[in-house]
Amino acid sequence: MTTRPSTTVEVEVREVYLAHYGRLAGWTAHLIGDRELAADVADEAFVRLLKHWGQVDDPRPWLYATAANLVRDHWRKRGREATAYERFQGGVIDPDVAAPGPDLADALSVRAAVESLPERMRMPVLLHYFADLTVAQVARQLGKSEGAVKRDLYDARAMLARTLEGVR
Amino acid sequence: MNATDHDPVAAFFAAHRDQVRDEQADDLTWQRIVRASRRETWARRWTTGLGLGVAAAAAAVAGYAAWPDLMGGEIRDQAGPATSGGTVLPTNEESTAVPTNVDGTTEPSATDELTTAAVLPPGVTITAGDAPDAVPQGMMLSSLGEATDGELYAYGLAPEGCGPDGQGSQQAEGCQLLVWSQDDGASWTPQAELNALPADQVRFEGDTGWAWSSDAAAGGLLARSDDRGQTWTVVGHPGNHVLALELQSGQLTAVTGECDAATGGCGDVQVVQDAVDATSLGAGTPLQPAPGGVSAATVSHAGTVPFVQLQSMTGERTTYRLQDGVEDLAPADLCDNVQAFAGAADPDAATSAEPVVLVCGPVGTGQDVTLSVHASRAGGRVWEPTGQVQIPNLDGGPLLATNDGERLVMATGGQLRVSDDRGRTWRFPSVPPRQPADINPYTRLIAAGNGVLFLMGAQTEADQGGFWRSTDHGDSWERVQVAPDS
Repeated sequence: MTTRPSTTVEVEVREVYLAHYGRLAGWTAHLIGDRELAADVADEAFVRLLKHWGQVDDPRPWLYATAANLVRDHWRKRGREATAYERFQGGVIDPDVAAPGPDLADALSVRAAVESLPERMRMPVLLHYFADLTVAQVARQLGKSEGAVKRDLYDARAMLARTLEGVR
Repeated sequence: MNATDHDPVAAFFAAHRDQVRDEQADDLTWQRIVRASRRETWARRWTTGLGLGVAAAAAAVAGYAAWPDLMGGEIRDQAGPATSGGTVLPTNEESTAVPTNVDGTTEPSATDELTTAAVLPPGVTITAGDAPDAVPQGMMLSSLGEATDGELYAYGLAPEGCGPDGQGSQQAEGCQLLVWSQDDGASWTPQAELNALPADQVRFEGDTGWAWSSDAAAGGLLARSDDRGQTWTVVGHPGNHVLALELQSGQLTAVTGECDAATGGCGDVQVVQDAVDATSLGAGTPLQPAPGGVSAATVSHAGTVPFVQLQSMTGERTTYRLQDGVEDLAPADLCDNVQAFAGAADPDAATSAEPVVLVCGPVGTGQDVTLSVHASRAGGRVWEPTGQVQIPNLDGGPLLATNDGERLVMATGGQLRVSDDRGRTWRFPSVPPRQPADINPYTRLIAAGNGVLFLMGAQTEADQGGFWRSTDHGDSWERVQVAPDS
């Protein structure tokens, strides 16, 4: 394996940074509810991207998968105290982060929705529905077949539909 | 009609996506990411380069949880997420497990990622490796200076082209190189490959050089060389970290502290003054502790008189004169927030003046803020307000330098301003180093005497592999390219 010069890598990753950092940090903030912590997560995702640049074919899905993994670890570390019907953003409301719209005011947070699912469905749902990655991209990031991801999403959709119906 | 109309789950997540507010992707954040990445790369190479075995790596496990930035805080004090090379583990895996990629390779274990540096004991000698014949393309500078008249040195990380023929074993990882110019920067020759020296800062006066790491997590190394960087001897010093060090007229002035690698805050800050060829640094003079600890320090000189500026964790700067004891230069009634300080590198010997300049403020909170300038010809013992300067409202204070105390240069972010009248009026240089609106920040501004100044940027595209030089007190600037353009 050859390693490309880090300066070239930095130049290339900086283009990715300019294109995707802002959205990724905002996306993470919505999940964590803490902008500083979210910035740390986004920073860490880019530090890892610099490290793994030679092995990353498609940086955007890779970044979201990495950030999602960090977020998942954060949630796990914080415990599962808010797995269902938690208010917006894990109960930690940062006024600087976008406030929930009226139609979401009494609805589930993304975290609560995701954590109400069995473990195998969580990352596919987070990456496909919330990060807007294609099934193929999700499958590649998770090392699963597209069929397996579709099955996870199908099952998750059914469960979440019931959950959403229950909170209306 | 779109897909979400019939899919309440898709609609739910789409509504949340719409609530996401983009954060800023600014240059400071990028620099922070790059520094963290380089530090990780450097620390990884360093532990490998020193031949530290499993025992040393295991010993550093204890420090892993407390290592700063990359792993600090709520999220970072665990083994790390299961991501690698585009592969994320299935979610039922615990993050402490060693993940396996689809290609069968494994993510480095925690010990592979260790970055807490071992401490090299005083007296250990480090010999330079074989340097390449030519300065490699894309070398990123972290230090530069003038060793003697017309002799310049630079130090930094070369990403490739290392080894004696540019094809050495370090090619993939890059190398830390000391390069030298005998012709005032016109041409440069690699002097020493210093991968075994965990340092990113060097200073030379003549043949004698000192090296240390600006990163508190890198083990607090301080080393001296008497042969232009071919061999280095580790030197003991107070505290566990060198915050700043400068050489001037055969004298060394260093600021040391007991620093917390996790927070970057330093206590027990001392200033040590000794001869340039000192073999060890004993206890120094304690400096007044800053609230929350000291985050950074600089040493500058007005002629041969050293001055130290400390920055606290909360951003306040305190400036001390080091002559006949330690004297606080900027009482609160003069300057409630010191932004920058500079001593004249090359004062007029005939007048025995010790010109120094102090910039205070800012006033205002908008896009631009106003700083007040105070000048002294008596080494800061008597001050007079000389003018004001309006600069962009940026994080961090400006860089300030002067050779004679009359003509000043100030770098703010990526802009330069000059004054010809001790700070009364300010203007842009006649020939600026680059576009005035460039957002890449300048990181170092050095007054080298005789009207010469050096200016270094953050080694992004605009500044990589070289620096800027002025020979007319900052009015016009020329590029000095150390490494060939990438």
